[in-house]
Amino acid sequence: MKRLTEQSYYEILEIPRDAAASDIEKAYQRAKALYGPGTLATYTLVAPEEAALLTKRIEEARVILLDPVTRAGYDAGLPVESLQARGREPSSPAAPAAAQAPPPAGAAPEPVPPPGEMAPASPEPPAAAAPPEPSPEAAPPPAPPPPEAVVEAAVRSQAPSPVQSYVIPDDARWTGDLLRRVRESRGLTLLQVSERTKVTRHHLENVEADRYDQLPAPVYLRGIIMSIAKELRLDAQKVARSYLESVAASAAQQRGSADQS
Amino acid sequence: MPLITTPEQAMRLARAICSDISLYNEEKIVRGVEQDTFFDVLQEELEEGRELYRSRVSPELYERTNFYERAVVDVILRSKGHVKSKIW
Repeated sequence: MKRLTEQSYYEILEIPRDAAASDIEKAYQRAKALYGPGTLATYTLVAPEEAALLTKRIEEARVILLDPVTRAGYDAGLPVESLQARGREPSSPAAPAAAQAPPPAGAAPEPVPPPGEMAPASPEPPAAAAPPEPSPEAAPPPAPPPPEAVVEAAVRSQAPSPVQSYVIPDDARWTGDLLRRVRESRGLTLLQVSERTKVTRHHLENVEADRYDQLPAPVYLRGIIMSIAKELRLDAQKVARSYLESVAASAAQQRGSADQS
Repeated sequence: MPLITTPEQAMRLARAICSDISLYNEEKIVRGVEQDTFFDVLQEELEEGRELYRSRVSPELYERTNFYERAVVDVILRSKGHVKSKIW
């Protein structure tokens, strides 16, 4: 599934390219009701910044597509592959921070390293993740840069840098930093982990930064850590226990210092 | 955050906490039911849940009700009624 910033306005609104103005308006109202501020979907499934981006994209889609002039210019700038694919594979904006595109059929599956041993991240995304180059004769004339270009660049800049493989000792003390290194060694971004675990990026960032005072109560935190650990193919029970011990130690230390003062 | 003083809210909180415990500890719960070690294997999780419940409910309400214990049974245990065990 494409990232939100990579989806065209047609995909955002889930309409065909030749949709009439009335259909666009209906699709806009539907999308707004589904993913607008304060709705159940954005409240429970999407981080605040993603929800804001989603709302912005929906509004942009309406403005651009309802104006025939701007719509024509926008259509001209869409890649050929995107135009051809539309309709075959509807893409839902319900997953704004979608994971990378799946590997092509026939591609060898990525080998799963044994628990405790991290596989090196691929320094470059798979070839299938990059949109194919349109042929020169079929390519549309260059269009003005779409408004999402800046956002897209910002999102891309958050991609983790590849790291070398390493082995985690059995008695490792699981901290946010170690979880972050494991995540990066898997080649996963925070957005991807958030999307797959349904844990908000806000919580993931706090976990990785060891901001214990901003984390939810231990009974909820345990579930969050276990979800992250499972996504990273780690021993969920062990990781959760170790991390919660650190949380408890920090809380005890804070109580001790508060008692002294 | 003000403490919960109404039974309805306390009951809802207890069930929400237990629902979360149930969601993330499926394997442990099933194993605990099967082997009659439910309260042993889930001791940490249940105590964490109880601690949160206690911290959010007024002491008076906490003392005179057993909503958390009922939620453990109703939400966590009862949903595993299909698991074969000698405890039933």
